[in-house]
Amino acid sequence: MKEFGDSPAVDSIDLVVEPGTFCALIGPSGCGKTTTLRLISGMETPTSGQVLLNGNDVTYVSPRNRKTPLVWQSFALFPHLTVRGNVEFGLRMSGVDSGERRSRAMKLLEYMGLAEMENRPVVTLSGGQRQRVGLARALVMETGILLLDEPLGSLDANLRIVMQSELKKLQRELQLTFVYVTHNQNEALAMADQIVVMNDGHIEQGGSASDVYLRPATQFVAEFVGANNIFGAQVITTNGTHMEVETEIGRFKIASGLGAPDGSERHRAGSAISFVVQASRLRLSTGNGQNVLRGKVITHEFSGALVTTFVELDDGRLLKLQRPEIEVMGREEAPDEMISLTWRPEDVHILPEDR
Amino acid sequence: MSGVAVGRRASTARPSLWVRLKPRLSVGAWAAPALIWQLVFAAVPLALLVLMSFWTLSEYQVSKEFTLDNYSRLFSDSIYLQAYLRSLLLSFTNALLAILISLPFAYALAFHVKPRRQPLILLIIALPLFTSYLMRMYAWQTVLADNGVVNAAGLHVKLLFTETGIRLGLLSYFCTIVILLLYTAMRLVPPELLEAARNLGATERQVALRVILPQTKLAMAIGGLFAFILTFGDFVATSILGGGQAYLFSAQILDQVRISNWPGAASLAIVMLITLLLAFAIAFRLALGKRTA
Repeated sequence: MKEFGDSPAVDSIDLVVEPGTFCALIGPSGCGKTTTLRLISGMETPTSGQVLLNGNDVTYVSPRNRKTPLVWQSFALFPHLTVRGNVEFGLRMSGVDSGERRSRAMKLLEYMGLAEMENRPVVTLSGGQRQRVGLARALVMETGILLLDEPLGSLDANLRIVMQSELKKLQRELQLTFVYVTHNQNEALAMADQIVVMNDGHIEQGGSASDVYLRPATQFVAEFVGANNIFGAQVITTNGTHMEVETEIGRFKIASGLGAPDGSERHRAGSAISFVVQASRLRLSTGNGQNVLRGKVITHEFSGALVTTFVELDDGRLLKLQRPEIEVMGREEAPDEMISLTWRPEDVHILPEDR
Repeated sequence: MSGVAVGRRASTARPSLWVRLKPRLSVGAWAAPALIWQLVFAAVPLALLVLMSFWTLSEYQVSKEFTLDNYSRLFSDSIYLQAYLRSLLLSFTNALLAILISLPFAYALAFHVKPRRQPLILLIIALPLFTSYLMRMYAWQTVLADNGVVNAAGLHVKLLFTETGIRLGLLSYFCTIVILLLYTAMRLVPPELLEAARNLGATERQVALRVILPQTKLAMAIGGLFAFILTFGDFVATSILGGGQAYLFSAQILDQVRISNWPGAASLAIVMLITLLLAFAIAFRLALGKRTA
């Protein structure tokens, strides 16, 4: 736990990152993800609790003895040094002789495609080049661990995509342990083996990309990751595989098997649940049959291959409907047009109620 | 067709002269008061000074005849050269001392004092600057005198009317300003750079020497330059604390003025000006020159 003043910035965090894992901490600003990273690197000391590194307690080890090099969003390169001077900095601090310093730095600069720029002042580099220098500067320490604080946050969108695959390749090839902080869920979903969703100083859910994306553990995760429609409901009847539930906007039939990790049946008639229907699992309906909702088209949002349509229901709530661009473009519904939506009972995910 | 056309047709003609000149004129208007001030009170007098340094003095009368005598005299009479070198040495060492004394202080203040307390300490440092420079130099006289505070404390050293005395008086003045300069520069070093250095294994000493110090180069140069220029041109401390014992370049200008040798004083002033310009160029060259690996 880490307290700043009276309010805990990070509280009761239990995070294990296995060697060679790409772990992404995601969450909104102020959720404590950066504080967690600073706790790992020793730039903050926890008010209570422990930080273990390779099994050793490093809670009170100073940052300089931790061997947890960090890559910064602002790059934090030393402006008075050249590209190679920056990369060699850590080695120089620990007294590595100049020959070895040079060869280790050059090896990484070559890997990063920056070898010809070794003598350039870093202030003359572009954003992407600077971030590569920042990476090389951390990697040259050969600690096997890299902490990254929004490393792509200062780069433009195209470069971010390029750097994403470069980072992932780097992490795989060198078998590094990455702890990667970002507020960008797409970045995390695309790269990380382990995703930790944080909110308000605690961990909401940790797991693989498909865990947090398809099986959110809490309402917060369902809202933060992906595009989900969340409903609160009460169970009316259940037959083991399916349940009939009552919501403010009608009765629906949903599958009851998901949601309980051990597969046991946990929901009885009368219990309150929340369930999630992913925006991409909603589809247009003729208006007949079960699980049908009618609403008014508000707007369409085009983002690459997907189109998100916002649909307003009678009670004012907004549903998100995601369809492939190729199915929608050219025949999208006009604003204010009434449409019917439906989903299959199996396309529902029930939020675990004990969270 | 690509692109967006708004209205009828985008005009391809060059904008009118007025449109092109307007932004420059408005910038010029903002700068005008300062420019006019500088022109009237700095550039014009300076031009007159240069002109006057080539005039002739004969029988205590200045005549507007062109001559190089004022300058050739400076090189032929060793008294000028000696005073010049003495001033140069004093100014240079003063600049170095001011930086060396102020650096650790500014560093300690900026990085090892709670930010909340820093303004108070800064105020205490700057407080002497609120009093008159002349007053402070007289105060130093009583401190440094043979029967003054230092000697009363049991140290029997001759301080007043020595170069050391001048140095003490001037440094007490410059150090406050150099400390303020360096402190400001150090506070502007991004904290992330310090954290990055520690993260890469730097000790606090290495952080200070390898990150903070290089980032403070420009402030050091300006501070040193400041000490150099003020020492070189000073005649208050040199006369009050030096008592004419250390004959410095600035005192020579005063002497020339006293005997109404305006061309002589002007030529000395020009030499001083060139020296200070050189010092300026060297200081900035050192601060902004080549970056090291």
